[in-house]
Amino acid sequence: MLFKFLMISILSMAFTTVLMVPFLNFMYSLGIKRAWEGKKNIKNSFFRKFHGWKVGTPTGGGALVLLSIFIFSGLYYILTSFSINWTTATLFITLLLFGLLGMYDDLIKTLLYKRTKFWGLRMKHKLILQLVIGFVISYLLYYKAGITSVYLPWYPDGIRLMLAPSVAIIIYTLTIVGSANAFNITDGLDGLMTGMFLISSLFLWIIIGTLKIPGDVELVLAVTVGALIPFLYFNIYPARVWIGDTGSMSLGSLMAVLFIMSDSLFAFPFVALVFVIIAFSSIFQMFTKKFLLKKYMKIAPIHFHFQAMGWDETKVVMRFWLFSVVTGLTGLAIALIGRAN
Amino acid sequence: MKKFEELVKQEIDKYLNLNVGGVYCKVPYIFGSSWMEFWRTGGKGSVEQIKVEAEKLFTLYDLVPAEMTEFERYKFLRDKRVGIDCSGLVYNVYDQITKELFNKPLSSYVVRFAGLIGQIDKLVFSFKRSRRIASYHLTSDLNSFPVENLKDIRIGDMIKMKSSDPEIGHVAIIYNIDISQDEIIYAHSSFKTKTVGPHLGKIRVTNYDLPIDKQDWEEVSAKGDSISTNASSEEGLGLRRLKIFTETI
Repeated sequence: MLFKFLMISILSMAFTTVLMVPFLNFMYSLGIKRAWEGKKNIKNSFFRKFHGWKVGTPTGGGALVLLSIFIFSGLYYILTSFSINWTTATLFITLLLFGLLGMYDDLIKTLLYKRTKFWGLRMKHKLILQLVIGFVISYLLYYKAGITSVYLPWYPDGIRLMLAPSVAIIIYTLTIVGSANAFNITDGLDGLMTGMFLISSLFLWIIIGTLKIPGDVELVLAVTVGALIPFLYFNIYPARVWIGDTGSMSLGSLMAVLFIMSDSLFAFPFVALVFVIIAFSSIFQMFTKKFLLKKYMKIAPIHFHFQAMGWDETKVVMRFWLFSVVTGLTGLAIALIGRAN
Repeated sequence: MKKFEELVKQEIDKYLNLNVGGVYCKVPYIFGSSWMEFWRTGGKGSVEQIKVEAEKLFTLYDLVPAEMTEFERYKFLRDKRVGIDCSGLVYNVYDQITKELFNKPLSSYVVRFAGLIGQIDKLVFSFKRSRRIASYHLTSDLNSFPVENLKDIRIGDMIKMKSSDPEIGHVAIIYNIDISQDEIIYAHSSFKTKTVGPHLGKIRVTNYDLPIDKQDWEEVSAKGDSISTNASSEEGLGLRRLKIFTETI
């Protein structure tokens, strides 16, 4: 099974590689770049100084990643005896709904900016839509995919906690929405989110393999990893394309759903600890600015703070990738407590 | 008495000459917000609180007041809701005075309701008390009495006025009385006059036997009408004095 999915991953990688350059050309030709008309329109001095030179970089490259995932997963199901079940359907619905939401946000920031004069979806509206989508996915996870319990790692055999429907749906919804937003917030430096996602995915792949989770989960993960590798090639510094909200929200929610389906919900915040820290750094800064009228970081989220302190962008990204490996190892160990020798 | 008058002028002057970051900042008019926004001054802060809040906000937004024009500083503070409303100005002036003279805050003396309920309310709702006291509380019969004769006017008296919202009302405070010039100077924070925010206004006394609204008010509203009509004695408005500030002060 592992060999099969590795091959799928490589094929997905090849497919995305072939399409990347034409896709990039297409994006540049359409002018799908954020509506900054030169550095002078960037009001924030930090962004003007450190990121102003990136004006013109297309965003929304996640659309190609999603396309690869759908096409390859779909092809696999068509060409093999794999039957589409609610597990697969839930994963696809997650990618589709969050992908569309992210795509809408990207379009408002780019092609539709002149009409709306607003930088993306308003936070309140985005959050409401995310909660609605998260609720739908959580419902499917509980009632259709049958994920009604959570494994709590405890030595020697762990604890299986059965969840009441309302409790489960609330937990799943908050996890999915939180993850989507955390990944979205993390997407600020070239290659940061994509690289960290790949690292977390590889650890999740090990968890899935060790726990022998049914193939649908591994398939989608394999295809996603394969599609992201060529994307990362063009996304690392200096990025030729950004993944945009299309990619970050859909991948963030996908990661949450994959961990839930892998019976490793408890390990998720540990494997993705860097994402959690980045998200909380933003919340913390918002809190102190509003209530204490004070900033404790030069700029939030925290990866920008390090950059503002003088770290090169590549240094920040590399160190955060390294930190992801450390937290991934920790999360892996936690996920396997009481379950694997 | 003299110390009381000096304190009134001193406290009002602080609002009129706010210094933030070494430069003068005109204090905007901000309509008082709910006490639930307790981390902000919300239009009811003392001068010190307003100054600290302004300094924090300038720092938060990486702005140097000395590098901005006066209008830019004023607009920034107004947009960030840093300022004072009419009752906030009068309340805080009185509050500093009662602390200075009686070692107690004004909240110990001002009630919102009559009788026992008022006392319980004072005790239970003591948190951010200034946010709960409006102009009509200060000028109500519970806390003040009318000054019937203009000749009895003192620095520190209030002028009870009406506003566009009859339930809220408006209040000004007497800043200076110049008998030789027959002039009364008052201070208030308003947004419907030509000058917005805390400022001084002048009344020329033409007849000491008439109530204050019948004198010659220099200030006009934004529409150009005299604001004396807002202090009509026939409507029970006009001069009032806080009960705690008796003759012995």
